[in-house]
Amino acid sequence: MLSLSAKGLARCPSPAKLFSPFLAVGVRTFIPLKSKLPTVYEPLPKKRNGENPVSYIHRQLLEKYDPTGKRRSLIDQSNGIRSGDVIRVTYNDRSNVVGQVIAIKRCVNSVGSNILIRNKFNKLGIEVRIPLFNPKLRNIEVLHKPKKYLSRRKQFYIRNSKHDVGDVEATLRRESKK
Amino acid sequence: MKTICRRPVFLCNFSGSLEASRSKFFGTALTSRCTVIRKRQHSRKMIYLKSLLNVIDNSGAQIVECIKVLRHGPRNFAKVGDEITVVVKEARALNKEITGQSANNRVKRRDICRAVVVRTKSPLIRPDGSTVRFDDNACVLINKNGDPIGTRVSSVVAKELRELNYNKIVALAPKTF
Repeated sequence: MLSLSAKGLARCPSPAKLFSPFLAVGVRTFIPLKSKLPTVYEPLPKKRNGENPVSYIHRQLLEKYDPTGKRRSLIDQSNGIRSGDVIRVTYNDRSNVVGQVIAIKRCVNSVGSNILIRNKFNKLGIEVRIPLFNPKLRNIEVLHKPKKYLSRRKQFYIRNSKHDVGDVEATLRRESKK
Repeated sequence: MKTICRRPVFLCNFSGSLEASRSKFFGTALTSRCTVIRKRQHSRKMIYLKSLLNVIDNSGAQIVECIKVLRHGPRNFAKVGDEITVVVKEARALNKEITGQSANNRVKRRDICRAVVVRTKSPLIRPDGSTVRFDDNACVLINKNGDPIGTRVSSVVAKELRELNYNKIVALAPKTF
């Protein structure tokens, strides 16, 4: 701990000045008295080694919900899944959802990422948006990767167009038979 | 002129008259962008008065119109699992071939029934953060006790109905999402 000396800083004005006619009228002035100066402490050690709290929390959450890094690699920009791939998402209660990826919302270094998959059943389109780091998810597997991808990373335009997905499960079954 | 007027395009309400006046100034390019935004707003549909829904059971009705959402609260639109009162707008023609239970319970055009919403175009948000969106708004006709009028459900329904004690509808449906 350091304490600055109070020397010379609080200087008393001379008595002639104090009782000058100008001051007697009632103009208030601040006269610093000889008093203790505030103590200045040493700076505290930096929290989180000086890391930004937001990035720190995101890193903690990612380690909690994705300790192996498997989910993160799944939505990797270069090697991960892409719009157009067919995936199967299995939950912890063994129920699953199959569909074609039409959009991936990537949250950089955070657990907010999700995948939007589209499928058709009886000519009725069904879209499910699945949070990637949901602890209820058991597994996400890629069933099919097309030879030629459509343009755009977010393929919302395929809804009700000629590029629209068919019954994904049925087409997969047909292909496996061949 | 263009650079000055561009700002209010994004700030203003998308009303028809404004759009018409805008098209005079900016030609087609900007107006087309506005219409895209407009369409997106419209596609987020809740079920309320005058909404048209598909009926996915064999009660005979094909398209119904919502005339009342049977739900009290600040938000008076129907979501999946909510009961509504509907008017039958289109119905399948009565056939003599149809017999048995389904023949007795058939509804005609202009009949007033109760229905439960089973699919919505607006995304249905689950507690775990996932959402489900179907391509149409659909309902199943029910009686006042909550049992379905028809004997079959032809297409998928949302999982939430099971929690809301519409177990019969879920059991009849070929698949739940």
